[in-house]
Amino acid sequence: MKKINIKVIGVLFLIALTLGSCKKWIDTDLNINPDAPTDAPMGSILTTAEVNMGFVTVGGNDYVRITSIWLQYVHGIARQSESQTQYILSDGDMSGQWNDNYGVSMEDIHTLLQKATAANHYYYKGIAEVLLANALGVTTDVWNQIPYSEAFQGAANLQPKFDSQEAVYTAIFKLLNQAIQDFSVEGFSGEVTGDIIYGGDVTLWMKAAYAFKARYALHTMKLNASIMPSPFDTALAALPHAFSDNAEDLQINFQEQYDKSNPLYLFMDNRGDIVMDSVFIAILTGHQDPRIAVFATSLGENLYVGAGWNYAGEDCSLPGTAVANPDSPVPLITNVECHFIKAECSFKKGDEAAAKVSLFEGLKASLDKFGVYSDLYFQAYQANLAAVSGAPLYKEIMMQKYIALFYQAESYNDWRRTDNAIGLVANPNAGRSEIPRRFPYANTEKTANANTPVVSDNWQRVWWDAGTPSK
Amino acid sequence: MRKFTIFLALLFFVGVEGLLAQTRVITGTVTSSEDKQPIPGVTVVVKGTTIGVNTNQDGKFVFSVPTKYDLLVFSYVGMKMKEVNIGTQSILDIVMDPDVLNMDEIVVTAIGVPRETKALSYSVQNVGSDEITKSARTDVINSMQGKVSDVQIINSAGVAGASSYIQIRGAQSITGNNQPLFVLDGVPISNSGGLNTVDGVAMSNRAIDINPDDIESISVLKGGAATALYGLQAASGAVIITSKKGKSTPGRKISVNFNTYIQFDQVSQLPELQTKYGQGTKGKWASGGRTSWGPRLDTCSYSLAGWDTYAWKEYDVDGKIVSKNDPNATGASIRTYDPYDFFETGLTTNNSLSIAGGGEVSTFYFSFSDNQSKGVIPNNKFRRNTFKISGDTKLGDKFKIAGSANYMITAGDRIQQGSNTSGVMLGLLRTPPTFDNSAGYITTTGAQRSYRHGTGYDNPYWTANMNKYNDQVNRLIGNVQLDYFTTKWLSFTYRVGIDWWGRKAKDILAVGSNAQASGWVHESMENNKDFNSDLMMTIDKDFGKDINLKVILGHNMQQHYYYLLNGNANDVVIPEYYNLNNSTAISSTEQTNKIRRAGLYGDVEVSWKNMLYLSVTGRNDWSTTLPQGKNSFFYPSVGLGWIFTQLPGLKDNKVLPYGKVRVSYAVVAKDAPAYVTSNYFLQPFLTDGWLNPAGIIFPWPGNIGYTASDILGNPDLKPEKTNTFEVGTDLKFINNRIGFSYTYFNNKGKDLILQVPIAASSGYLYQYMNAASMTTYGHEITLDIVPIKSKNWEWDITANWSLIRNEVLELAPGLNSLFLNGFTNSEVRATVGQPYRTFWGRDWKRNSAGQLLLTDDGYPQMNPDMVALGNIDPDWTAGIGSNLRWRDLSLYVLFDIKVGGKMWNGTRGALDYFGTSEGTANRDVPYLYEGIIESTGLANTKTVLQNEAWMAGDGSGFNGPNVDYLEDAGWVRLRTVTISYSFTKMLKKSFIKGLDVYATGTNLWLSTKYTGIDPETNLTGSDNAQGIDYFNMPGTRSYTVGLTLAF
Repeated sequence: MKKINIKVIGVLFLIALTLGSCKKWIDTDLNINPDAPTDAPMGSILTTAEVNMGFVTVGGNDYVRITSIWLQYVHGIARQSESQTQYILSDGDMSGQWNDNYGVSMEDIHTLLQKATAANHYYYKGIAEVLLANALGVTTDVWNQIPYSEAFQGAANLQPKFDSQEAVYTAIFKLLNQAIQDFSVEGFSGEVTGDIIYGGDVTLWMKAAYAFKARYALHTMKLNASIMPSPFDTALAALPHAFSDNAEDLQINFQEQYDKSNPLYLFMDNRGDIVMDSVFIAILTGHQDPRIAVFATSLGENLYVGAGWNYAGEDCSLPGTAVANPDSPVPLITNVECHFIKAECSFKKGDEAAAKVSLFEGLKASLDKFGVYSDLYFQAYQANLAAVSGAPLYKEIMMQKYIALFYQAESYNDWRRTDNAIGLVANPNAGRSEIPRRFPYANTEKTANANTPVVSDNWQRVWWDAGTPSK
Repeated sequence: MRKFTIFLALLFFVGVEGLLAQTRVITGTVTSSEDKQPIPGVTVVVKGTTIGVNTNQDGKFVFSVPTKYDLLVFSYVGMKMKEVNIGTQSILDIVMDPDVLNMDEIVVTAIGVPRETKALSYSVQNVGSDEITKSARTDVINSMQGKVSDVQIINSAGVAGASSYIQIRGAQSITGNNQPLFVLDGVPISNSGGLNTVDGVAMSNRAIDINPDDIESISVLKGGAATALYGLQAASGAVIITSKKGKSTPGRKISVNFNTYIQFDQVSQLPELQTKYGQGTKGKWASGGRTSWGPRLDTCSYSLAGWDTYAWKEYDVDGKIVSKNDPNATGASIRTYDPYDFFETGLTTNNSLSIAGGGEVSTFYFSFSDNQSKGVIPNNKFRRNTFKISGDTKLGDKFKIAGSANYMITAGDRIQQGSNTSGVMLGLLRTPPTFDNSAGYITTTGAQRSYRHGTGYDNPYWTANMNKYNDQVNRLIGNVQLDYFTTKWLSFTYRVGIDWWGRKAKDILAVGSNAQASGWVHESMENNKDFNSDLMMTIDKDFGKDINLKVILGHNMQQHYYYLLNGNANDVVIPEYYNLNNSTAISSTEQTNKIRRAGLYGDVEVSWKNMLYLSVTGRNDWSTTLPQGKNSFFYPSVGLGWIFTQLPGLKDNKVLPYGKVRVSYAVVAKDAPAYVTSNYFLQPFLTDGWLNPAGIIFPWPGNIGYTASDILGNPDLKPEKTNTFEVGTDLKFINNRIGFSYTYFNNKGKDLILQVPIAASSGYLYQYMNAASMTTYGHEITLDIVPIKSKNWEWDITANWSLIRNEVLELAPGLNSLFLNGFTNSEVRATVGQPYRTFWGRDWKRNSAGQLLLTDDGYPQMNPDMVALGNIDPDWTAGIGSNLRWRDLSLYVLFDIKVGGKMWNGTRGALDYFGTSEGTANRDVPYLYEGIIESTGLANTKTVLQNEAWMAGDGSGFNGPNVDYLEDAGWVRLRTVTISYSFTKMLKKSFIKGLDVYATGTNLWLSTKYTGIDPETNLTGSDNAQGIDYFNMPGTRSYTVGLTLAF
């Protein structure tokens, strides 16, 4: 019996051991991921937010490629890019860009804005406001109504309403004005880390804020909108506070290293579905523009070929070193653009002389930026333009801006708000006589958010493009 | 060996006691009442103790029995169990009666509890060792194909080491695991892995580590009542594997088994390709051209004009292709190349050896196996070695300790596949018929030689030779079990097991490969540890003659731990030197997954007069993955079995000697994945659908970078629950010459946890929610017929038929469908109101009557909206097996039938675009689309050409609608044919105890409407999303010869 007792005690001991340890065994603290922090410093979020702006929101993904295909900078020769050249673009194609803009890019900026506001760190706050204004602008410019006032609330609102573009533009101007105010708070001197664009220099951020103010004011030029009654004056008033040198450009500088490189470079390396378009190549060669050497790859000495509407697999030039090198920067807004905004506004205000000055300054800044400035070309250009005025001058301003802003989506905004001042002809094989005017809403948002507006096709114009204020 | 097992026992238990003194020696012989022959291998145990032996070849047994025990129990498969009171006898002659009706058949049920089949209130099916061995499949999952009803098994590809997907009774979960729990000797083991990306290599799932020759039997637990005791882990069913063990057989201490086979594999069905037109576009030949819309080859010849200075002479090895009328034409006809010459004959050799035996006190089993496969794709290899040792020993007559250790090494050399510009089939099938890939894959300048001058897609020979993916798994599964028989009716069991595996993978892409021109080296180290312990008390007591009570009370603890360390070098500086440090772009990631669970469970079974069996179970689980307060959950089951032929009026009737009806109801609950209850920041990896896997890897120089996770944590998660109901009957007619089983089941899952895509405008992309509900019902029928049974002839036919219907009732508020896997515009989704797996894509524009709306030219037009186009899951499946034996010669034939179920032939969709598919041979043949001209409303009479321009746009599945590429993937196939001859009787007097020689053919015949490869395939492997074929590796048919030898 004694032996039995030992065994029974043994068994009971085992039971006690296993049951007794149950409380400790089931510890819900174990459900905290050891490989991810639950909070992160503002500087680390800022770095991500900036790279995001360059890599996914403005310079990568589908946004700049589709608009550049439509604006005939480049030509899609395979996969979706080929369809987009035929103006086929469906909601399923949009999920990547939309989800990245909201779930990746703006979410981080918004998180930074909230943290900076809570910490009364005016500089992080101001930078977040500038970035958010730009991200909202990029998003609304191709999608019109977008969520903002109810966005970024997580579980509190899983289906945010869509604000009108007018409301979004109101918010953009408010954010920019607030940023300017925040950068100017007297007596504040908080340190900014993680700023890979300006190294924490808020005076440069202030200039960027003014530059954006000018750009977004100009977008509303068709409207005479109540929120922006005099866009040209507003832009002209903002520009003196904006950039004065290419070195001040707001741009993401990508790097030689493969996993830090430019999104277009990576696209060409991994997919290569686009080549240069014959329209843009013809414009450059027609102008004998020296920038062609950096905008496109040559197929032989000074031989540049773009794909035409009847492209059939022949060898074509590819996007060049200015935009498709590993270390090509992705600009968000530049000194060059400011000069062209000034040129256009001056023209619209009737001051053709000032317009020309700014046009030349813009061209020179652009040639400088791409390292192809020569007195010969620049002076010849000035001479050629001596007698040009009126509508041809306006077209020339827009054309030079179109060239200078190669592979930037801002050109698509310019094309729409000027109603094709540069005179592009739509793809005759596409079955639609006009270049599309917007993106369709992303399939994922349509599925998950019942508030997503219904848009009949991609030729519906956004609020500022439609030309009549929505009330 | 005995010393070893005792030593093993000592390690875990220190209560060894001396052998009991008061014993007597009992000897005896067991014979069969049927043929009066002795029965070898009968298990003889002293009831309520550990003491037991097996009869030897002559049916004899001998052992010492303590005088205080007097009840012996004799059991043997196919014989009725017999209890004998020893009384004062010392020599026993036992006659056992055949169990024609399998009344005493024992199956292993949940937690490793053996139960009589007749007592069960649910359906269970078994697969035996002989069937497993002779099916000659490397992965044990495949050896069950076609043999078990309601079980769907899909071997993802015909490459060596490819994964197999197994699903029991349809899908239960939306985004969670839908594959059953695997249990080896009572211990849950890992069957993870096997998930492929759309653009990587075919991975193995971990069930492939098991040596099929070590398996004694597999029992498949299907419904909730069957798996209730296992709890949440077995919510999708359980595959219970019982391994072979040593036996205590007097006079035969050791038995040796040797199994060997050699197998040849060939690619089976392949897509048909055109050989009429050459490389190029618009009817003109173009060297390096992407597509095969070039000239008609019968109008062409070669030209060697200017050959010396021709830039592409290493590519266009036969010459430039010109018109026959060209002044430089050589006059030679154009050669076309068969891309399928690329495939080789696969070769698998399998050798396994086991040594088993035992005495009165201990038994042991040792085995070694070696399986080596060379796939049909050059350089694709898989190898498995296993070592197993197990044993048990009795520590006196009350304690028994058993343990096993199973060490496995598997290694694979895997080849790039799928939607991958370095994928084998992608480059192979897009190659124009005029280009010879086999004429070298590297040029004299070191560049890649492929039909697009090295760009675009890899030459398949390049990728098979230069891009290497190698992985190795080391795995140890061990368990120890302690049984304590307190009295005749009360016993305790403690079982603890661990399954540990480590996997190392190296994925190399050579510089110059099209998937990444800069090359890459990806290294990963995985470490997986599953710990499980069960402590059980078992009561088995008769109350009077009529009532038996069985009670199990148990406690369970488990821990799942997984750790992954990834190092990525995203360029390769010195070519062909593959080391993580040979890179300017290095990054690393860590990933951990740790889950603990605990459970308390009870099972009470009362039987009355061997006629009524009532079983009630309950289990409470605690899990760390759910929030505090919601992480404890209880779920019950109840079942009733009624053997109505035990009723006085029906008993012992000849026509229907056995009839049972059974009904059961169970609730099965499941916890959440780890780490989804709170919000996190992550180090970002920025990419998009075009660049992946390239992209921005953080840290940014000098700046660390963090991003808010896309997944919104949910602190309100609760367990998901599935209610399952099943009812069925088992009938045996005329001496069990006809057996019939029918089961109907109905599962309804609610609060199913899934990763719900939420509106990105919320700031997040996903949240885990208790949102979905899904219902599944099905019918399963199995029929066994023995038309002939005599001494020399025996023929039995086993057929099973399953119909499963499943419907997603709800996903999440506002969410109508959920992406499971696939490509943009070609997606497998779970869709509300549809079966679980629906294929979404684009259709043509149609009117309300479904007629095509055509352009004025007579072409159909794409409707850009994605719609549900069809269902992946089959309408019904069946397996029909026939086993015909004449004397010692047997012929086994197994047909596998799948009716309905679609497969997306994305391969053909792309090849129509590239002009290499068979259909594109008709590019000059006018075609009439039946439909209505949209602008006029009139029926179309205009014929059109399905030419390059059309196929480059909406005409092919590459850019256009994929509705026409969703094909019926049903099949009838000859899954297995085995001819075997047994020399055992012939060699009866020799030292050889068994010798079978067999030849097996697998997939020898396939009939399907599917126009691509064998439709038993899936790009994403053993994934919830099935039905995707985009340049998948083809399936195979195999020829095997083997022998099993025992002495």
